[in-house]
Amino acid sequence: MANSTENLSLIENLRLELRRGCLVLAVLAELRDEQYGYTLRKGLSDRGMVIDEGTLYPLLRRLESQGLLVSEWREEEKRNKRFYRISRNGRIVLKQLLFEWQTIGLSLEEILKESGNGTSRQISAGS
Amino acid sequence: MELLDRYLQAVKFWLPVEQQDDIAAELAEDIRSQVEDRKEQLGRDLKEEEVEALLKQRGRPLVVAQQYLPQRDLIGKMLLPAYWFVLKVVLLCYLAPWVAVWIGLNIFSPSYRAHHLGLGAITDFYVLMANAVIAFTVVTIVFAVIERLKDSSGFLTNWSPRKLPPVRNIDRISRANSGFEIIFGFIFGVWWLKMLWALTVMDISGVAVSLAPALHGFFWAFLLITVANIALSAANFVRPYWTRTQRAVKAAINFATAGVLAVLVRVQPAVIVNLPNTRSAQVAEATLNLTLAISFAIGSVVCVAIGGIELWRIYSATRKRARLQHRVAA
Repeated sequence: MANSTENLSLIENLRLELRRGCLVLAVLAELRDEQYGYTLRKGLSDRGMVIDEGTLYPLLRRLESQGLLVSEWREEEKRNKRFYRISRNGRIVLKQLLFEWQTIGLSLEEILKESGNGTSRQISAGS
Repeated sequence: MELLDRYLQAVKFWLPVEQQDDIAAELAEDIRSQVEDRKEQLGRDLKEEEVEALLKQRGRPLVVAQQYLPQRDLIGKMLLPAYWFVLKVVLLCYLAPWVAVWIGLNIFSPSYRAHHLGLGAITDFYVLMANAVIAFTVVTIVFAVIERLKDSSGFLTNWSPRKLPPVRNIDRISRANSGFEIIFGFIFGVWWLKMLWALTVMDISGVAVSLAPALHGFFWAFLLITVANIALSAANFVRPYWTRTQRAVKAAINFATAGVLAVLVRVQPAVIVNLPNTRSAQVAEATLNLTLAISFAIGSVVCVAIGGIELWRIYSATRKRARLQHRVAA
């Protein structure tokens, strides 16, 4: 019982670690269309990429300070909102990151395929 | 929305002044959007408890503010192992021996015990704690400074595997060390044994320092220890690898030396000073005897530690060998 609880928390930590690297990619891609913070968060969440506000807003600020996003305060529905969109440099970086992402995916697929074969070889040798 | 305003004010408190309004405005907008969404779902205004729950879910104001701030550690992850190592060295090389010597002096030296128990003990430990705090503070400040400078100082890039210490073999004995031990052991042994035999340290123009006659009785014990030490160093010079026997002999010599030094602490006065001025002679004699008693106590603690380390090495080597034999047999 304790083991399965430990495993669950371990998996949760590893899952968060895995997702952390994808967040920048997801945020940059989502901001190809201009959005403000709350709709961005909802949009990501609707697509299965749940991100809490404590992570999202500092990330947006960091990406803006790195010149990958631009933002402006504007009134919408009688409320002041800060709208974000990807910058020209952000688009270039996103393109490179997507290529990197695809390369990692392909490599991982190859590795998993090889390990899968290895496992099946071991199983058949054992039987 | 009084609760929201209070929450935002608390978050702002922890933020840098130039960013406070901007971050708070965006945070307020996000919370208001969430409240609006919730209102739409429920078809009514939110109760105060519901707003409270929503704010609680976002976390303490300090935690929320902290997420916007750059990560700043006094001592970062990279330097932390070195920092702990230095603190442990300080603990092992200063604080632990200090306590051991203090206990030893109180057990073996009646004159020391007379002034260092009761209120004296509180004063001693106050000094120890003050020194411990100073040592801890100094080490922490030095590491905090290294942490700030490590990127600009080239600490991370200016290194070479060639400059790393050579691989240590704890079973190998340096011949140079053994040679030095033979020479030094002989010179020191002759000097110390001569003093124990003649009991005169110096006698120049009316200034006479001599050992107490009681120390004469230690001559044979020190002669044995000196001979044993020189013999072990000679054996180590010929066969520069630690064997179980060599380690056991080293441990035995150190335990014997520790015992003799512990007994020496009890001999008071160990030194007699004669000066033309009787008052000065008394002060000099008291200072010399206290210094000697502390030195003997420190020496005794060090010898026990060395003997203990050697016994531990014999034990761990035996255990390692037994495990290896067990594995081979399996």
